[in-house]
Amino acid sequence: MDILMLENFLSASVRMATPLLIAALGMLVSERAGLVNIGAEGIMLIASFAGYAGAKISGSYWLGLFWGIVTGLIFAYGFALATIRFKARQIIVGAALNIFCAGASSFLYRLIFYGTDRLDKGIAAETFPSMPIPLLSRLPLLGQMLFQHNILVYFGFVMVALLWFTMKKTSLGLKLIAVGDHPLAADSLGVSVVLVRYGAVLFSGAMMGIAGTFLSIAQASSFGENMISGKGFIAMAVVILGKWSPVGVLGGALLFGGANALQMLVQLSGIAIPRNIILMVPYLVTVVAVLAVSRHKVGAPRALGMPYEKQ
Amino acid sequence: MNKGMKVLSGVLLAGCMAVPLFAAGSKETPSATAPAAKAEELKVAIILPSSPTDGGWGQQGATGIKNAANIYKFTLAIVEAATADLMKRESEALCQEGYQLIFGHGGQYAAPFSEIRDLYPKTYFITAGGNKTADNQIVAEYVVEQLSYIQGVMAAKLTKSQKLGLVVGGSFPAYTKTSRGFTLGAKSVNPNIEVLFAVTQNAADINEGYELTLSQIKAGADVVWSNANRASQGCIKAARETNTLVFGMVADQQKEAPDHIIASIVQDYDILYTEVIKRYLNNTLKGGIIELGVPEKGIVWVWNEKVKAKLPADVVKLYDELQPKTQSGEIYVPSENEGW
Repeated sequence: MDILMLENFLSASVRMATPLLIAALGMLVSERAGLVNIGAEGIMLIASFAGYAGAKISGSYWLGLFWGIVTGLIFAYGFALATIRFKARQIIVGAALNIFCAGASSFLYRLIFYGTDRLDKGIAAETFPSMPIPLLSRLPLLGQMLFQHNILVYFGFVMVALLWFTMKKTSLGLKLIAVGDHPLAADSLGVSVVLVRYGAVLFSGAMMGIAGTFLSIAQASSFGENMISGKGFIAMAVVILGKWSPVGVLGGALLFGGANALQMLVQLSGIAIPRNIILMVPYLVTVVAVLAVSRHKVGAPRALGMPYEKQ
Repeated sequence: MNKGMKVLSGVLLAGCMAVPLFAAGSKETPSATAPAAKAEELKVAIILPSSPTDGGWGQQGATGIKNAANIYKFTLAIVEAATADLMKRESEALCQEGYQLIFGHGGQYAAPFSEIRDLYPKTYFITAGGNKTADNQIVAEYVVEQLSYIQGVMAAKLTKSQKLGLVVGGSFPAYTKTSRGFTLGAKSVNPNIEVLFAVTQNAADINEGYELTLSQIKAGADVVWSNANRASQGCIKAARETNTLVFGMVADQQKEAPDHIIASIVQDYDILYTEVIKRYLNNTLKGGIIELGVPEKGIVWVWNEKVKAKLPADVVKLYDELQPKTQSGEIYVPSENEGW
């Protein structure tokens, strides 16, 4: 592998890791508070549609991002209401979200764009431009890998640091972890379990909105029905792989992004391996990694998935 | 949740589940499909592998069959089924509902259709591409590979790096007949030209198309091509971002990259599907392969005039030079059912 190929591989790994990273960081916060939202796939999908529609109609990728975040917040609020207020089963609500959002996004796309003149100038929407960091972008290997991306990629890395700091060094982080591990104890110490959980879920919704919008605006510049293609579920695996820590999630996202970039690299290199096997690589890597992590203490929040009843 | 809410939820759920039961119960299920004597009695269905509004392959099929329906005024059903089990299930359901012609928009429908065709001998199963035929199973296809050969020749003349990037949406002949044609064309100019070839995991994944093509461009490809359904949107985006020349397939894609699309091969499925329906109504439809191409105007080469104006004259004239030769067989480009 020459240097150019290696640089491309590393850069592609980071790009492909970014939506997983952002979504997984959101899910990390939500799960740390005790709520597991398997509806991430659906929320990312409908947010990706909202982001695309916002960008396409307004001509502004920032407005597209705004609508993507708002959409993520709305559906996350619905999840929070069902699971916190009405104590519905989190898995069931998440599954329902996935089904609803898949249908809603397809329906709305056809309603707003099909048979109208909105696509007369092409399907592509305005996209986030690349923002190379001066000087750093010229570093060998690391320059292209880390410092020649759009703003949402940088956002993902900044959020890793921010969340690490928040969870390790602030009282808010302590409350978040306490609510997810021992909600009764947290409640007895005056922490509002409900408020923290609502806040955590809304945060995760915003992050899923950003992740979905990244896929439709920053990467594809268009929307395709079911375009998330399982990345929401892979982000859930990344949270487990990362043992519910921001740095671990970063590692997990890069692992999967790297595996995806690897299968592309193998295809381009012309190595004589059947393509169907090459295409399996990212998923095999994820399964093996999750299994390997599971052999040791996983570190899941103790109250994960359990509704809280105030005593 | 209190008791009242639980009861209400249960009633609502039961109501939702009962509605399709009533709807299903009202349909008759004939045991054999009677052939339609008149177009108005004809029931035609098309099964699509993707959305009828995807701006690509699925939309091509939906638009084509709807245009045919406008001409012949038959009853039309459009169904989406992307996996083999769904393809089989949906086509069986359509047979039981009395549809005389069932189109599968893609070669991937050939195998599922072949598993049920003997149960419904009076129903015709038509696939757009594919490799299975019978008395009541027909492959209807466009010889797109002949035009993608010409794209390959042009690409080889235009490339400075002697590297071309190709992305297809699947590794079966309906897709790879075009990449094979392209590669043959490129290698007819320079046998040592490097063709970087990739297959998407998921032809609906625009991001994957983007990353694959971007990787090819960063590996040195300076002319790229894709036939990857929805994923082609991502391929074109990568070309647009990196100022790379690109060819369009299936639909006229110059709107997506007005400064970079050289030419598109547009496939007009209403001509193909209308031809099949016309043969059925004339009682001349037989099992086997129906091949249409440029003479029937089912596939059309559409230049992007903006880019064409900047191309060398010897490249531009290649289409007029080579198309008659590929059509007549003077330049042999294997079709979907040959040479694997």
